Amino acid sequence: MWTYVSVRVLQAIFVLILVALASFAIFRILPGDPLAALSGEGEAISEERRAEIEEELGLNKPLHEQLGDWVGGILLDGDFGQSALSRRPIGPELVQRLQNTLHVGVLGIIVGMLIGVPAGVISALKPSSMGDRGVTILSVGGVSIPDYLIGLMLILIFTVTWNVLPAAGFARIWDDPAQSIKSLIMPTIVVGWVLSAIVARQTRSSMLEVLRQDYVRTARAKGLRERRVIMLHALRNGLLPVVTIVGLLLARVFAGAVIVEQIFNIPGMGRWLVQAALQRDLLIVQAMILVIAIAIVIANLLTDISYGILDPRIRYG
Amino acid sequence: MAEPATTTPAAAEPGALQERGGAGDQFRVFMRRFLRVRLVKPALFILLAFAIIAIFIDVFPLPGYEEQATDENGFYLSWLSPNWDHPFGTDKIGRDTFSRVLHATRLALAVGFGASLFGAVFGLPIGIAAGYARGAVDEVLMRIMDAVLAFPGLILALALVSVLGRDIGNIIIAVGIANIPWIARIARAMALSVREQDYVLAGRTIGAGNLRIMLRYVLPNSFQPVIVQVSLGAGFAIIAEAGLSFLGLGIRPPEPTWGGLVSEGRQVIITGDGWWLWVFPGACIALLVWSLNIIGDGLRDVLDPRLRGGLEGD
Repeated sequence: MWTYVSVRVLQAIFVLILVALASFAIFRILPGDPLAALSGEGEAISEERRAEIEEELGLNKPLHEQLGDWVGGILLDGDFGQSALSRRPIGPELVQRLQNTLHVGVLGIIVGMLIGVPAGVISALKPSSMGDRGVTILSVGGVSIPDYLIGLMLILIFTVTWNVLPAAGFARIWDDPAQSIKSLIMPTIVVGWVLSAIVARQTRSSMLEVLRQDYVRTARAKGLRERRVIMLHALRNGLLPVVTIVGLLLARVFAGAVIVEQIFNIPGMGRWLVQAALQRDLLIVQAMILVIAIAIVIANLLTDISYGILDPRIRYG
Repeated sequence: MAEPATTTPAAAEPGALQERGGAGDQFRVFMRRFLRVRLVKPALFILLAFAIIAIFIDVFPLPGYEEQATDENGFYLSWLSPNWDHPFGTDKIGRDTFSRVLHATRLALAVGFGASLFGAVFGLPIGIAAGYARGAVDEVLMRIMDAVLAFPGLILALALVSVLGRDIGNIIIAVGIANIPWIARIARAMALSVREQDYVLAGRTIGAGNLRIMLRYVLPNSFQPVIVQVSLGAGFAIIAEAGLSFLGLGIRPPEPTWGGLVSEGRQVIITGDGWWLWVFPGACIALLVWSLNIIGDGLRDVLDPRLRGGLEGD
């Protein structure tokens, strides 16, 4: 058990180092100017001003020192550097925005699980039935229909036509519960819709696999009711692999946040990322893709470890 | 249902004799099974229709995508809802949405397949080298792939585009990089199993080197699962490109893109007008990606019988 955990932890640390190197390399080694945001439409900033800002942000040092400063600052002081445009530190705002994004994301994951797991189980229990066909169509639809289309359709129905839900005005649940619930219904549906398709697909294939197993046949043969066979024997093993896709779901939450926060005006990471990319404020983009990637690596590590604890078969895999 | 190749009607035809059991026959058997997978026919039809539009767009008698429709007095015909002259309506300056949507098809397909093939061209060698070499090489290459996977596709593309700039080549690269790890994982799995086969041992005995074994034995065996992933990857790439354009980070206007058109429609959605501006390009994205997903799943059902009984029944 401990061998498995330590191997996975070492692998994750190695991946984290690579992720940090990549986020640094994309913005400092590829032909791109970290101060591109400052030289706006045509008019470049003066050489002196540029040198001044580079000095201030530490961009005039050799690359390896910059990398050291950047990683060191994040690890030691939680300092993610500053925006090239506003010169404000990135860290504090990032924490705020990460909370907002996870606010929507966690609700979306819950909705995705609540819809996806039962849908996957139902369609696995009766393959080729009407229900199964329906779930299959929905899950292919979920990965084919882009999330912004779903979002626009919801706005057209609930905001424009019926005028029951606001298309903007995000509030946190603990700040203003009523407003928060109203403003979060549509974003949660959009995020949950995509996730439920992924969850349903994974649940279905894993349940189909389990239902073929000998112990399910044994349970049926010894005369247990079908209900009991499913609930007690099949579900417990069938749902285990579904846990492994939490990392994947989190990745989809962040990718979806970019779109959903834009449509529904939510001040989260996704919206900030798009603004920063449009203004070419690359230091913000750099900090944010690092945080997102770290979150996903850690989520994957935790799911792998918990899966290893729950299912002894894969420990030495 | 797997009929032996010799009983296919084609084998009885004159001239088909020398092909018996050959590549042609195999292909026919494959196609027949493939077409029998549920929904594959409509999906192929949709893909073909979009391909024809993309190739022959300049031949169609359409107004230019920047051409503004005017009435007899020279006023721009803006905000027209769908009608016979403008099946998808017109936008705020009288441009024909139908023409703009069709003109965007070529870009969507180019980025979709370009990015997907980009992923295959880099993913195949990485995966084959990792699976064939095993050990430390495998570990390092696969952890690098894990690192790429840690960045969600759309976000990696967004970051790369913000650095590299927004021409079509950069967008293909930015979207395509996210496809590399998926292809590499598949190719690695194939390489791991092929390298243990007897025919590889036989090849080695007659003096085939590592490079030759990778190119002549492992690579051809990796093609089938990779084709599945290329089809699914193209769907992802089309969604990602449309997403970039929707966010204003795709190809710069005036050239129309589906994502850009949806975004133009989104700007007026609150007024309740102009639903046609985003519904039609949006439907095109969904239809094309849906057909690529169905084709990818169908190919997997036929090429990898172990997974049959999976999604589409058969």
